[in-house]
Amino acid sequence: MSLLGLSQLRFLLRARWSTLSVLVGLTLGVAAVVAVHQIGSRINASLEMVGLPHLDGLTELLDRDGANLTDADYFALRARWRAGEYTDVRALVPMVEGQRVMAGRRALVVGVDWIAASSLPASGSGIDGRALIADGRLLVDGSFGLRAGESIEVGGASFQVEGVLDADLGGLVLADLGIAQTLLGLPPQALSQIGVRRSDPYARASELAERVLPGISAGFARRSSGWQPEGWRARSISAEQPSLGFARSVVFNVGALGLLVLVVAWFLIYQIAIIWHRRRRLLNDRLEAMGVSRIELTRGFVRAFFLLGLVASFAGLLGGVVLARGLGAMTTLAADAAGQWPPITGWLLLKAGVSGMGVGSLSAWMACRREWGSGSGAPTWILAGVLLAVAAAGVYFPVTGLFGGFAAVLALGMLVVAVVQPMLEALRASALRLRGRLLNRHALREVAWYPRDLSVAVGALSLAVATSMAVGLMVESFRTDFAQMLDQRLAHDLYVDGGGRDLADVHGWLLEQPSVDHVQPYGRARHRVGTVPIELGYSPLDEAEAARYGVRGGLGPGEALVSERLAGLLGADVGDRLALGGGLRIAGVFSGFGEAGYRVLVDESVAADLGIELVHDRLSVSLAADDQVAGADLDARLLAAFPGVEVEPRGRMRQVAMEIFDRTFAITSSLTLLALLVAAIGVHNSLVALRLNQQQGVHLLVMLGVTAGELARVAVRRALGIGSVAVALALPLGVLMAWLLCAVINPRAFGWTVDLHLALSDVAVPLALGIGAAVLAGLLPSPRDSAGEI
Amino acid sequence: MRIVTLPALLLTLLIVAPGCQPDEPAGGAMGEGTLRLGAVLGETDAQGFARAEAVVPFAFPGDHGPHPRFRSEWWYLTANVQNEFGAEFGVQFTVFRQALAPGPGPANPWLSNQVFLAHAAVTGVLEQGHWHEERVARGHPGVAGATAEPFRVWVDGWELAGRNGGFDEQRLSVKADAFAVDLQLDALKRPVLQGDRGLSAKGPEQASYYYSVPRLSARGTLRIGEVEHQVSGRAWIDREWSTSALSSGQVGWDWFALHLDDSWEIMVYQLRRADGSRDRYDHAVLIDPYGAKHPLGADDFELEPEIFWQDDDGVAWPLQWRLKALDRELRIRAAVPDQRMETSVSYWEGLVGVFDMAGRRTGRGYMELTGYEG
Repeated sequence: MSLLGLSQLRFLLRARWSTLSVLVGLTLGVAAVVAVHQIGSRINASLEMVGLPHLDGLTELLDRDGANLTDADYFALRARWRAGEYTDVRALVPMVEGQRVMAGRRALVVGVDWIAASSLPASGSGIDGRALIADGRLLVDGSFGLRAGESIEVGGASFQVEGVLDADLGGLVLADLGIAQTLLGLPPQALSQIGVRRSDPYARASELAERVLPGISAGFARRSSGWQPEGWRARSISAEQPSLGFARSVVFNVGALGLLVLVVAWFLIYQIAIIWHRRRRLLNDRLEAMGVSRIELTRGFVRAFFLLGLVASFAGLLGGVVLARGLGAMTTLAADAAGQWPPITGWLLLKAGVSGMGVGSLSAWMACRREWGSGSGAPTWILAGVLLAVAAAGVYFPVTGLFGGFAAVLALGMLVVAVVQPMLEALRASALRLRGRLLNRHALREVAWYPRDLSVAVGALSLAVATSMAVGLMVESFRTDFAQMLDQRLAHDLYVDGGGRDLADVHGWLLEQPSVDHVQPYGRARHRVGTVPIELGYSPLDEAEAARYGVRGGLGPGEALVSERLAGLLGADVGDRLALGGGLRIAGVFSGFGEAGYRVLVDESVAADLGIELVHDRLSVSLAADDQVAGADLDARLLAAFPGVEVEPRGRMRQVAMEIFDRTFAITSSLTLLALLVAAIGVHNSLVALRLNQQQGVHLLVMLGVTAGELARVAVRRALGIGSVAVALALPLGVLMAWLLCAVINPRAFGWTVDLHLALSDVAVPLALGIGAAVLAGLLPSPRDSAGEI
Repeated sequence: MRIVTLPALLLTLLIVAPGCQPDEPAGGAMGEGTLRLGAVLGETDAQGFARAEAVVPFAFPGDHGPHPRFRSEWWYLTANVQNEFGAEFGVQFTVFRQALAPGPGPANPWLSNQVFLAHAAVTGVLEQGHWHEERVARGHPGVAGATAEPFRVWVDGWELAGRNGGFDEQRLSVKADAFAVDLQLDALKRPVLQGDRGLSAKGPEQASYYYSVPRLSARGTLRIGEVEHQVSGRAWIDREWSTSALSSGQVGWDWFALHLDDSWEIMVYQLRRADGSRDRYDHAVLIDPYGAKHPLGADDFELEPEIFWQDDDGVAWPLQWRLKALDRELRIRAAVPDQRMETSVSYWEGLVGVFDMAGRRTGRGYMELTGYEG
């Protein structure tokens, strides 16, 4: 090994405390990235199960925009394709779909020409259509409770179940095209849509990006491909499955928070690299005088951090796997695999390596550039202007999607970090005018006296505190709105779910019970508003029922309620008309937190007019006010009479919903705490460096008669000062970030807006945590060996 | 000769292909192309299908059309053509019909129990290139089917049809991504019934009904990429239908259809056995300029590989052969080494040149090699 290399290694060993700080900070950063990657991959894998399998491999669906579609249309389209008209089309697959009641529940029957579909590329959720063609069998989803080999009686004919799809897809029945036509009572020439697979030059890149950064596809606003054959209407497959986009948005959000921890870790390492570089200045100057070039010195310095990054990558990988397991167990989305050790894939190794070694090397290189003046860079005000422009663009242009939203958050965070040093420099001038006791003045002046040494650590602490505050504010605001929604919706005493089964018999039984005051039936069907697939809910929408959705006076004829997500997608509001049936007037927009799809609610009469066969698979029950005691055992009697149904009392429903809510956000809280921890390590490291730099001054103070207790108080005041500067910056940043999360990122990710509630506790606790972290970092004694680090 | 060729291979694949069993969830993954097509192409159980067991009189034009009582059937056309500058090309077009279930089709054509698979390929000798494409479609009149009167076989935009409704004057129209073929074909010889009056035995219980139109004139256009050629030459048509698969011990075959410049044709095949022994069902037919056939049994001819070509996967394909039949001794050599059909089923099928032992060109033809991939 070269002398330079040995020198670097010795330095790492001598500066044990700083080395440990780098390792711990970077390990935590890598662990966060690894954990969110694994959680994201697991969620992505589970999405394969909830996607509609017959749409797998397709890019668009074509229909005739309201006109009846026949197989003659399909053959004409196919002939044009085969004649070379649509060069990027790779497959056309005719389909028929419709709803009918099968096995006592509403089913979505989908027929596919599996021969045409056989040219689609194989994928994880692809299905084997062989038996469906040869024997006219069916594939059903898990909601039917059927097993392979069993039969379904439909219209006097028996259809054998070939297999059961693992997921509950809401009553999906897949069949060969002709069989589906038979099931739906359609003539042989009737088709519903044509599935299209077009070549996508970016598909491979997108797939690769999704493997490296799960959820990234949700980061950009969806745009239509613009492809539309003449006389046809094209619908993108992603719009057909909004739940997939919803879940990927969750993955993206979690991934962004994971990256935040790495960013904070990057600041920490950068800070340490600067300190180390400064300490080695004398040595480096001598080496330069002896003929060693700065390039060689930089290379040696970067190698040292690369080595630390390598160790941190391995440690972070292991830590991340443990963290993923713990966080996975907390969450609902990844709960299916809770308790299992997540797999370590090649992509994960790559990501851990790039995160650890990349961040380590980059920090060292940046420190060299900064300290040797070769990277003077742009003035702060230009950098601030650019960051503000990025933030403004991310907020102002919805087309930037989630990516733009998070870019705005990150840009604001970087802005705060960028202004710390000028702010400390400004404070230094003010510090000269400080009055009061000498030791107090000494402590407070020190805060602003070394802006280059402290700025990055203070900025990182600000960012971590601001993020913690923003996430806390957003979650609590969300929680408040969610609780309000539950209180509004859970207006009945008991809820009965038939799991898709028609509950007419249960309804009748309940009406006979003396303790029951009212039974409200609910049903749902798949429908479309224009090209958008929706769940159409129906119930007798009287005044009381409409009030559950915040609408007074009930619904008039030809009126509907729409979920906020759908209203946002359509750009519609109260008073507008929906392209549904003859055009329904929107009487109200209701919040639908947690709904992955789009929902419209109508009165049963409207649903019947739309040609929907009414099936009620859910009931809500109001008990007689004077008979709550007798009603208390109603659920037990109901279960005894109808063993297949699920019954939940209101209190339990609310409790479960809130538990799910809290579990969902457990990941975000954990990651922000992790960021705070990394920032605290950074602050402590900077304070240790500061303390070591000031040892001569301290000796002077001791000689002047300052006691150990007074020195400790100086340390606390100094840390308090640092913490105060950090939280002063974090306060506006945190509130701004909270607003971004509620008003920009939430609507873009999920289609709903959360009203920002500025609760004092959610502001105060992160600020207190920030100051506490700084004070703790200041109070922690310098490691015994740290004197050797100078 | 295709009784034991591609459909049989498809059926063999079906036997070994893992698939969706009745008692397992069907949400599992589809396999890659081969298995998926294998999955589509149905059962190995011959129950309910007619079998080629006895000599029956052929009736034309009806027998040019489909025989849905049998499970498998194919229309096979190869042509060796040249452009006005003498550049040589090969054309292959094959349509397979496979019944998924016996019995007549239901009234709703979307419930058809027939699947059609088409392979088209072009070879350019000057370009040393081979382009091929595959199409598969349900037996719905709107997209794929076959009729005897008028004669027409079509699969998803590709078509072989009688120009006047008959079989003697046909037109082949194929437009693929990389190439296009539009040929007019006129029969120069009458159909030749292969085997015993059309009953072609390939094993103790394996046989097909098989006839050939060994010589047709071909002229028209052939496009490769953006370059279009006016071409003319000779073509060969095979028709075969059966319900049989490979017999045990047979692992593949080597098959040739050769046009000799002296107006003779040769059809020869050998069935390769796993133990390397000669199969007694190997067969050859020489057809003289007047259309009379001269059949040869397994002991009456010699067919030996001379030179092998190894592909990227390490598979060695015999691309030069020596054939000795009657008083003729010929050398058969692939015009382009890589004429593999990498479709649902992988095999080698391509243009060959025929030479005498002194190296003089004496004819052209097509060669088919299967079962070499282990």
